[in-house]
Amino acid sequence: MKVDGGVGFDLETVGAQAQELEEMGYAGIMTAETAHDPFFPLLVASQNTEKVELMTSIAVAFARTPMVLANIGHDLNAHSKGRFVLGLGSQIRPHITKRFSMPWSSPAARMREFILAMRAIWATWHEGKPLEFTGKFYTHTLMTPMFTPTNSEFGAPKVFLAAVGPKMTEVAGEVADGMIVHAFTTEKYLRETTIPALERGFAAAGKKREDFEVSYPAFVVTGNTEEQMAEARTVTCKAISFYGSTPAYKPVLDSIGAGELQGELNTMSKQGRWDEMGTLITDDILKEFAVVGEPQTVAGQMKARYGDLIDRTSAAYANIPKTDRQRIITELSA
Amino acid sequence: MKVDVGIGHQLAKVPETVRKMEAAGYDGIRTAEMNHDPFFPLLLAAEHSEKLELATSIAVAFARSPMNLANIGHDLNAYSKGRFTLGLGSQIKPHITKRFSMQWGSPAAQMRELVLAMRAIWSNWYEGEPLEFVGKYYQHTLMTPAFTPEDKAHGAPRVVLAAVGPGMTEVAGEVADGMIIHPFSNIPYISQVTMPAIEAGLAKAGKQRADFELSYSCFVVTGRDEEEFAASKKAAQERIAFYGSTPAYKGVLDAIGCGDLQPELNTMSKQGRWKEMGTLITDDMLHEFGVMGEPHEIAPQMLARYGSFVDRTSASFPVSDDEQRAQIIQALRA
Repeated sequence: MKVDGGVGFDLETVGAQAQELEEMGYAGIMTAETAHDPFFPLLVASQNTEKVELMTSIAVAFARTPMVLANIGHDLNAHSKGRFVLGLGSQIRPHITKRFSMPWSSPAARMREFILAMRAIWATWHEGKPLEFTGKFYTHTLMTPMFTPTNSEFGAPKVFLAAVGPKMTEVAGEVADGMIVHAFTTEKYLRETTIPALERGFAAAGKKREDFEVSYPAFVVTGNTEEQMAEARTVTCKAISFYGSTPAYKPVLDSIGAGELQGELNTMSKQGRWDEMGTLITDDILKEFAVVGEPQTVAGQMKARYGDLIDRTSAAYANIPKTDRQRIITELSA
Repeated sequence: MKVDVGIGHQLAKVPETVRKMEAAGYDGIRTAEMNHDPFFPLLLAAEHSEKLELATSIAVAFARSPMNLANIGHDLNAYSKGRFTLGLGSQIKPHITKRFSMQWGSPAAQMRELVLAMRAIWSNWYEGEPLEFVGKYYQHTLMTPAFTPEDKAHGAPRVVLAAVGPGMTEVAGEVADGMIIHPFSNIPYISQVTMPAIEAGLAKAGKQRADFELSYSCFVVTGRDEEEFAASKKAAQERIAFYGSTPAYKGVLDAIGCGDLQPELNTMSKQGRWKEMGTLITDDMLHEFGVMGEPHEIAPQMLARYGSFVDRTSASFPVSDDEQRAQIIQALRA
């Protein structure tokens, strides 16, 4: 199982951070898109590393046009000599329309077209195919030599897609090279919903499971003292209750028979009772979402539960010493 | 007059190139948007320089959401400690709709709104103003703390616009911090069209000309010997003929009484007679579009003709001798 680690957005320190993660044996470094451009840290990190994959996890696809992302993806993959992974997610409607002032409709169908549009652009650039992409959401029919990158040695980056629901998951299986599973996922949901949806996507595209990577950042509750464990538990329960309040994620709670909790959490979130919400996450629920145990048990538990399901994971393991983190990464990577 | 230079798009070469350019005494470096992302080279340039101003000249505005540009502009300005200038241009309709799959409206009005939208976003981030931008082309009404950059020391970058026609030029005067005059310009056009439009825009916004930076890279024909000079002249003639074939630029030829040439050049361009087109550009016309002479005459000519209104230039100085180029640059900057 590959292990990825996050780097922040401080462009001054990201080079050193990336170097440290590479030395520790991480397979990839990741950025998210919140208050900063998600690509800049990866460009800086690309100069300071040799082997690690550089991934957005995720960049907001619908905030951009496929052409701009195709260009960014090409440039980062060329500069990193083939190490870039373009991880995309849809975000939700209000953020696309009211924050980014960009169009939103049928997200799974739009995302499918978005990725196919990028692939059509890359086929024009890298294989000289004519650009004749006329979709329902995106149109790309104009390309001239002047706008065609010439450094095609490393071709297109891999494209990963973040998904929760079965439709977006199926699209990932069909048109992406990998999927980023939401942290708010249970083993049952993975086995009963995610994997079957991916299989439908693979079938539609005639792809094999081994040509595809599933990345799942499972929650990990660990610590070397009672106090550290309790602290990690509180933080994780809060995160789970936050995600659990989202109506779209109810099926994940349904998978463990806790669906009725969603309405309750949603009501509490509207009352601003964020801290209290976490207390509704019982030990039984926590165990469905998280690996819980002392540092030396983490890798073994991860492998036993998810080893046959996922190809890569990511975790900060922030509250344990670097030596413990190092051991978890080494054991998981072995 | 400040002097800028282009740095190209080969990311691996950027660090060495910018160190050289900084040592050579240039004031700024520029990237254009052709077949690569225009921001990546500037990020690396920021990392590997101390004083150089960094500018896109230009990035395609309508290919992106104002939110995206606001974020990129923020990050580059913060990382470069206030050295970034976001230079924007509209491109033309087919490239926006058929290459980028984005909307094209009334370009001057859309550009005005795009710049104002970015300024509204920056006011929200830096001054805590509510984000309530509802325009005809862009709507930005959602912003939360999670998406608000925290590193506010350097604020917003400067924004400059590329413009040719009076509509876009007036918008530059009104909402931008500077303007890039198209190389295909001449003194009569600049004094009859460009400057009055800028003044009208400045007046609308209650701004002073002193607060507005004008960039103009006239054509330069020079060389150390007959051969270099002839090659430089031919290149300039062909380039002028190429621009002159564009219907939208007829006004520039009209200003020097050569409007009739535009349809002729246009017809020839459709027949692919590119080389022949250059021969229609007489010495008199060439003189209107720039300066011509021995290398040591270039800077004095440029200063005499443009010094009173041009704040910066990035004219290429077509001599094959670094020392001679350095002399021209130093003379312009003095």
